[in-house]
Amino acid sequence: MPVMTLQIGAEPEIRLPVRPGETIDAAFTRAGYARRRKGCRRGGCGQCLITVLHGSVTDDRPVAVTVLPPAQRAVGGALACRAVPQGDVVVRADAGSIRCVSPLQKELALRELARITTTTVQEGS
Amino acid sequence: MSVMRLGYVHVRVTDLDDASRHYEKTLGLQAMGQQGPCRYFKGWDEFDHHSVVIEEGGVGLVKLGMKVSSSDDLARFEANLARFGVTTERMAAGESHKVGEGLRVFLPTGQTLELYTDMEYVGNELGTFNPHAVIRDPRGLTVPRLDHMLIAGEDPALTERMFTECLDFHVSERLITDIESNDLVATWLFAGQTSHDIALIKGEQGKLHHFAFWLEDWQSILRAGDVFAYDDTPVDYGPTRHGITRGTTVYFFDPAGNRNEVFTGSYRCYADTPTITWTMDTFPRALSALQREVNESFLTVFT
Repeated sequence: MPVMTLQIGAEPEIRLPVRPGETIDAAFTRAGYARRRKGCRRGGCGQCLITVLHGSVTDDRPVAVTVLPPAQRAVGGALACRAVPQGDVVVRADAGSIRCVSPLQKELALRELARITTTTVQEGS
Repeated sequence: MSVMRLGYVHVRVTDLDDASRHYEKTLGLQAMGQQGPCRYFKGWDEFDHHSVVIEEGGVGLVKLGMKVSSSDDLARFEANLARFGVTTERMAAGESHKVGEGLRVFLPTGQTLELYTDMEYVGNELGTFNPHAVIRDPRGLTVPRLDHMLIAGEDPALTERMFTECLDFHVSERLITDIESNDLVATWLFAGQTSHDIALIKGEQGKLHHFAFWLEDWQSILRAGDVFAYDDTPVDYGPTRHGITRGTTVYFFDPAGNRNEVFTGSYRCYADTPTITWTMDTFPRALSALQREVNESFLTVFT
């Protein structure tokens, strides 16, 4: 299971598990995080723009080039509502654009992360 | 009243099949076939060939159509628009699929409006001879018809004047900045007897805010929310009631991110109905009479 490292502004980065096929949006929403501006959640408004610093993502559905121009993609731009991590990713979001709204969900996601990390280590040993 | 209604809305979508599923299965429109890159849909209580056109590739508005009662009205509108200084061009029958000849108007706010007098008649799903009252099998929201739309542009006041001075529209409600400067933020215009066939809001040129479908009652608006949960349709806000128009509503997005609405209630308008004015300091209540707050996407998401 891929791990997403999320950097929100200058906050300490957080690592969250991404289930197969989950978008970045779906993964952090499941972990109790919410975007300040939820936007259309269908790739039409560009409000969920984030930067993928490491790793790669693919869009689960087509995204209009007017919303995410190739030049923006080339520098790591991606729409969180459409981008599905292909393996581990490091993702950067603007300060205050995403925040934790459900601490218990975050706790559960972190437990899931601990489980998969342990499994990976055992498989590796 | 010579503009009879908002006849059609033509939008771009990123994926035709996804969008078709939304408009056909979630909203319950009737699929009316495909022509080139476009698919056509109508509500069960609409008589003309289509009211929604989706075109593959991108997102946002291609154009809108309004049906006019006669070619005399069309000629009068053409003269009015020329005097006003708005660019128009004649369109031949068939240039827009199933639509007769008409007049293409390039709105000051940047959108393309097609005025036409004829579209292929197909009839509603009940017929006009000893009809039943409703369709037998509901599908999704079972929306009967397209109702209105809201578009954005830099000078809504100029486009408002165009609609009232050239096309015989009336203004039901206006949102201004404040009494002193009286700058127009948004306006609701009607040609029929509903509170608005089209509304205009200050914003980026040529943009679409939403297009709305009529529903029968408040209970149907709540049910719409239930159906959106089943179909994973993202909801912008609602169900709630607007202060402006007094309509009850849910806003949601199609699979490309174009905003839709289902709407009901509101009030009847006549040519002599006085215009309601709102100032921007009361906008939270004007937008949402119950919550009295502006959600973060309503004024920031356009396609």
